[in-house]
Amino acid sequence: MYYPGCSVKDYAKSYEDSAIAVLKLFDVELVELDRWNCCGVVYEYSADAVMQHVAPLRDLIRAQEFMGRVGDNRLITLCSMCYSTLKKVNEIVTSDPEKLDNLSKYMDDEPRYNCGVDVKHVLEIILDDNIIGFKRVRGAVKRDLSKLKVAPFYSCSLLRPRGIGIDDPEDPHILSDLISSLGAKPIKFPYEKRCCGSYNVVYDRSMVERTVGEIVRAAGRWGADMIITACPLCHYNLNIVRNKFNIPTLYFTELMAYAMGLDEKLSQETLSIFKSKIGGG
Amino acid sequence: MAGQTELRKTVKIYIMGKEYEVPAGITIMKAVEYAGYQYIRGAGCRGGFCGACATIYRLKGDYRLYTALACQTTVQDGMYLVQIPFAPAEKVKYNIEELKPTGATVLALYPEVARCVACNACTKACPQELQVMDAIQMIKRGDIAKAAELCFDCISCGLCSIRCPAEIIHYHVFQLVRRLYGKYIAPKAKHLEIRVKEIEEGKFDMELDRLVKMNLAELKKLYDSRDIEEVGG
Amino acid sequence: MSQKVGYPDYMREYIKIVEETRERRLKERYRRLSPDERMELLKVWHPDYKEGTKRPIKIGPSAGLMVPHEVANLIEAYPLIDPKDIDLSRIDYDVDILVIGSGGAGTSAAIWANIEGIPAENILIATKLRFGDANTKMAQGGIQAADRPNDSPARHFLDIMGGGLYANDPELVRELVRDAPFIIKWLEDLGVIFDKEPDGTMIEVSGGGASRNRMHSCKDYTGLEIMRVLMDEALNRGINVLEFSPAIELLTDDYGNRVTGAILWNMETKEYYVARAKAVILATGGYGRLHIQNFPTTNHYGATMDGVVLAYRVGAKLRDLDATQYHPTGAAYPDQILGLLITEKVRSMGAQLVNIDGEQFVYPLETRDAVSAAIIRECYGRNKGVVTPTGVRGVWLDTPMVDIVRGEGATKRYLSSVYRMYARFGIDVTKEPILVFPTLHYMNGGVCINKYGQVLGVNGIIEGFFAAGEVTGGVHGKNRLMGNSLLEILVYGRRAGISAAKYVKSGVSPGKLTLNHIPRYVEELEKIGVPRDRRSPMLLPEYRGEKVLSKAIPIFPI
Repeated sequence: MYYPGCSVKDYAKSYEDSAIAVLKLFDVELVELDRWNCCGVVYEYSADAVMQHVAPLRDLIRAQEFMGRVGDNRLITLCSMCYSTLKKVNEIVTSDPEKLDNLSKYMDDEPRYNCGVDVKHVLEIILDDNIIGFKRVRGAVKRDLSKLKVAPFYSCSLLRPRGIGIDDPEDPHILSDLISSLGAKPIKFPYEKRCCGSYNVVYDRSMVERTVGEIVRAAGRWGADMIITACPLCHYNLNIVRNKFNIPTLYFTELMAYAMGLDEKLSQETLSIFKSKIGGG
Repeated sequence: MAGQTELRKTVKIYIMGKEYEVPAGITIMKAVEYAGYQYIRGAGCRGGFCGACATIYRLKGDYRLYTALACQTTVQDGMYLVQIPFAPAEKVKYNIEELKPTGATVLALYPEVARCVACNACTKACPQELQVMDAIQMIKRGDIAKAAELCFDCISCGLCSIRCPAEIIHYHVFQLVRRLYGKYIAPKAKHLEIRVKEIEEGKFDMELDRLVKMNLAELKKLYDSRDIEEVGG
Repeated sequence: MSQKVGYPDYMREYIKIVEETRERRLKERYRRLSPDERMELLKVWHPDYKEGTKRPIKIGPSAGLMVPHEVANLIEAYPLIDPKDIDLSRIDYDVDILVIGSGGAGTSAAIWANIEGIPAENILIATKLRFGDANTKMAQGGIQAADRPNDSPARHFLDIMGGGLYANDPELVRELVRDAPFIIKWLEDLGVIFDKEPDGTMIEVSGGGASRNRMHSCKDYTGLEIMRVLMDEALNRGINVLEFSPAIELLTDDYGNRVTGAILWNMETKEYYVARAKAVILATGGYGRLHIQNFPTTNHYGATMDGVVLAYRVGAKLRDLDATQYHPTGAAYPDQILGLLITEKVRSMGAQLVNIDGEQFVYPLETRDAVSAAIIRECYGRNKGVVTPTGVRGVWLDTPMVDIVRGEGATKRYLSSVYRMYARFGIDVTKEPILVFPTLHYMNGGVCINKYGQVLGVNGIIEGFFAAGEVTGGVHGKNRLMGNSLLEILVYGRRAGISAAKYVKSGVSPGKLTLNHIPRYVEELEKIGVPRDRRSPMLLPEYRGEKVLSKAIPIFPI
């Protein structure tokens, strides 16, 4: 089962296109829920105890209804923020029956959620040896990326809070490992876990520009040609300063797609970025 | 006749808190008039198309809020009702010629749409039983075509907007979405363009002039002998 | 919900009979009427021809014209105001163009006046209820235009003339059919969502009396879809709309051959406004709420023929008001929706009309007057109608045939408003037929205009006065075809708007404001002895309970 989230249908469509194509190479099919709503992550940051959980819970119920069709209880997301909020709410209602009760009473227009959905980020699928695993990733690489220096950018939602995040929040390595398995050179740099500024870009753009400016400058100082991320909002924020430092930010699945020769799934712009960074590719 | 005794039954309804005894089996709108109120606001087409008679009511012993169109809903005993003839809402002005048919366009003009928390209060309020929340969700992900399809039967009664915690004005948003779809996304009718040009160039003028000047007997003959296309389309 | 009761048992028995004959009827095509048969049917069974329902107007420019009593009672009536009480020196609204009525005709007139160069702030739409509350919103089935290769405006012209029993003004018809494709294109460009094939070709269905399938529709919300797009466009352009402020009298200059504005009345505060305008466009719609011959109606709450009354007082000629259109398929059951419109599109999509024995009795797509007369004959002449628990007679409209003919889901998709209307009462129209009987629907006649939308009086054009839409007569003759009303309001709304704009741009100054036409009219009324308590325009029908009215005391006199 696949939960897309709003951004990958519009702004971050390239993330979805490349992800689906790459997973297909490994016989993993993402089946989109036939009905879903925005995960409500914006409202998650509100202090309102009911509103912040209604939207993601509704999606878990959608997944519950859809499960029978695909014979699988795993709900996969691409956007890290969607992942974080869906997983968090799943944990909350599973561990706190009274909370689930409250929410169910409010959402009397829905069937009751029975906590049977397993929320996963697509990276967990890719790195799971039982499903895909690094070995197979390496085996599918068709291009020589040895000259390409890629900085991993985890930011918040992939790593924090502990237990929800999919990697060690202090010393993450998933993306570096992925970069290595693709044959490119991972550039770990001190700001790889820093918050990109998130939705503050709407109210206080200059603050975000400062933050991402520091992040991207640092990546450059450590030698990166480009940055990869798993979050459309980080993608948007970091790319505010791409021209300033000549360091573009791409989705990790786009890097994977390029490595595996799935050129037709990438935009002309993205292809030319790769070509210019590698030099001829 | 059995039906006649049915009509002589009465029910008690409460119009803005005041109790009135009205005939059973009539609509809320007719009951309100029976009770002596003359509609200035709150009545429009009286046929379920214009949204003027949006009504909110409760039933005895039931905490839920129900919504209805007064002209299409039968009175029930114990109905506790009020009509909402007007929902305050600002309509944003725009020039449709200058817009792109994207989610971003709609969000730029009506940014409250982003606040939707999927609480579904709008869907519950809709007297047309539309998937209101889903339509708003479609806009958030940029699927203008699907949003236009879902909101087509909207009669702009405003009940959804009154219930929305995010203070979205659904019917204004939907109007913009539908026009964007109709103007930019729906394919154009090529045969229409051709015909408009033909008329501009005067292709049918002679024939029309002839018909205008024709005497009655000849006109009748032409009319009676015309071939009629099979029912269809 | 307790209102989802569906049909009573005895009606379900009759439905079984309909189901039994359905398969055979699917292959049946009922014979069309010859022109003579049509006339015979009308003369005997159409309400227009019933004895004692009409009388000639006794006064004014169209004295002698036969009209229903209900119409005559409003025309031969005293004004609502006494000129002594009106201070015309204090002008509240001073505009280039005043549009009276905000339906499809009024709104498109305002938009086109703006397109033609009149600034939006100099255009005022005054409307009795809310912006857009008009019969336009309730039009369902479609709008005609000859835009396919196998069709032509000339053919459309012929259909209209024959349908109108040749009483139409051919000049008006010519412009109507000629402008039609342009109007559809204009709507498409505005963003109206028409039913289309995937390649963009318009889906065009048949209509009564039309020799080609040329009804363009927007599911069965055609009027609503068009109206709301027009409203959006007018508001975007900044055109001013004054709601709940009907015109209760027009203003004329000294000599009475120019209309110079109107007295508007705020229905909520009771205040009157003096509106001066260089040009006035009348677009007040029809008269369904007069309940002619006690028929229920499809019309909106405010359809009380105000415009005809106002225009007549300033010298406009009238025509064809003896031709009342009864829509053949008004809902007959359940009682709550009595008289509401069931669009002709249901028949265009394959449903047949069937009597109590399950048999057809008329070709479903005859012209409306013929179908109405046939249904009345079937119910009251041949006694083959079904009687509802409240004593209403009707015939079946076999709606389940639509999905059979057009494929499953066709009803829910293209006739969603009919589906919804009955679902509210526990009837699934894809499974059970519905009961119908004619309902008062359209004012075929009205104020006389020329092809520029200028109003005609005894001495020719009344200066500064334009009209468009249902309030006018001449386009449809004695019987309007389906889909030509939506067309008329847009074609002539546009023409009136452009003509009014051109008139204003020719450099006219605002005219003098007088109510001099009133004492002249009052004198005529007194001469024929009209009772003093008869006043018009009506503005709103009286529906308050009789019990309450008999005990009502108007303590607040104003």
